[in-house]
Amino acid sequence: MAAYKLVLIRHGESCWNQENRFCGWFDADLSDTGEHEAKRGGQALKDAGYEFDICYTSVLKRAIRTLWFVLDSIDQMWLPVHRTWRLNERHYGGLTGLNKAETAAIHGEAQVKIWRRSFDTPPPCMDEGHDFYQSISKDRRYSDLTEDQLPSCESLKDTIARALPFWNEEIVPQIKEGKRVLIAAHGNSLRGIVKHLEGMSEEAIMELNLPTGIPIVYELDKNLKPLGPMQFLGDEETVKKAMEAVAAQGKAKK
Amino acid sequence: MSKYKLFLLRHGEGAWNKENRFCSWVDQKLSEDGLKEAQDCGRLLKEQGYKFDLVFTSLLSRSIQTAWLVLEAMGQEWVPVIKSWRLNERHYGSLIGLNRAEMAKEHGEEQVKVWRRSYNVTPPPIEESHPYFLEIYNDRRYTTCDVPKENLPRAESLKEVLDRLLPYWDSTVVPEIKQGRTVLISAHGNSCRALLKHLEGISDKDIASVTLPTGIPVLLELDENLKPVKPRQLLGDQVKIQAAIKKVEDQGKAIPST
Repeated sequence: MAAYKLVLIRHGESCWNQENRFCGWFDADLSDTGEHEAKRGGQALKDAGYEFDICYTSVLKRAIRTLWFVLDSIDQMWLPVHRTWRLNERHYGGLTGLNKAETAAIHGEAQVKIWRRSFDTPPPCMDEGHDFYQSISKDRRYSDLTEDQLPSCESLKDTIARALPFWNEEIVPQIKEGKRVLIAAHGNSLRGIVKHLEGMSEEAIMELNLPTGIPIVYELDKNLKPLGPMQFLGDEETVKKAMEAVAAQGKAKK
Repeated sequence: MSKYKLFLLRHGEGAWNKENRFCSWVDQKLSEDGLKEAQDCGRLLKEQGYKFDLVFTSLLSRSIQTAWLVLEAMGQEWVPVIKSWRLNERHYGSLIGLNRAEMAKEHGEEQVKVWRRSYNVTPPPIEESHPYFLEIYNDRRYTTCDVPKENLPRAESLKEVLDRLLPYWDSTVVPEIKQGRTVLISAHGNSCRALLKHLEGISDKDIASVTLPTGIPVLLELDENLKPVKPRQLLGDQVKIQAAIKKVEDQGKAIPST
């Protein structure tokens, strides 16, 4: 018997996803497809009659707007929403803004492979000369972060290390008070939560790509251990596709 | 010498505004026009280079939608938004859902004028038999307030709006302003008026003739004691502002001469 239910939603396609560019902390907006994905996710939650008490998201608009579309769909726009940089997408450092081809051209295919396969090797840092240094590192929304906190690049390990304290200190107590939580965030920050909930290995979490725009439901026991695998919400076709895509991932990359 | 800047915004058109019906605590969303008003407001604030640190809204969707659209237009979606029933629109009691013509017919023009224009006359309370009673009081959001549901209003005068707004203003909004945060309050006609009355020291009599146009940001420049250092400024194109003021005034006159 589930003591708690937790819902996660990974935002959909951003304008930079469309261009296949490393986005990270760049504040790209949702593309039309991404907006559609968010609305569809909201509809799935509405159809299933979900009610929440509190919402968490990052400080990046693609996640925030996804949450807004969802709250509008389920008619719960009045819910308290907490935004935190700790749920931001992984910071891609010097790769931010590069597309996959450019990245391979500049750094070589072998190096790119290493970065992709590594849990704890960060990409090159974003230095002051970088195109996006001003607009990201100096953005007003990060003015409260200490020098130690503000990343110039992150490995997946780094991302998880700054996301989990927020999970443990802010979100877990709310869940334990019986608050029904909705988290709208990014592929890598959500991986941090999933890895932690399911006790997954570093290899396993790197293989997992969460589906976008589809509400992910965990039923948790009173110790916040999942009672089963994550469930997806949506119409039969959407859910089936998502489950198959996730299952295929583990097998594909060898 | 202005130390702080505070912005007030009355949300734009909801479906019932078009029908001239008192929406009050019924949770209507913005109409297409209302959405556009919010977007235009956001674009204006962006052009003028304003940066918010914090936004306060009511628990009603139309004020929240407005805030979201403004933040989106400004690229400031990341700014924290705090919601409270204490910024809700005035509770119109049993008059909720009636349009101004129906009201005049049922209660007489004079009585309606008193309810609308007086500072401290409360309309008749909403009863359980009212068509919108359950829609309001069964709504889960009202179990999350800082007062128990049974203590929430059943009708309010403008004075009673200020009575429940002021403690929130003092305990929650003022400390933020005094820390130098640029605050936007996205709320409703009467909750904005009540706050203006307090900030500008408008008399009980004079507040009756103060109406804020919808979708037009109001800038208040305040000194270190939160007293205005100059008259409130309605921001934007003056022609547009005049049209918006006229629109609201015409609505008030829309009672046919019965």
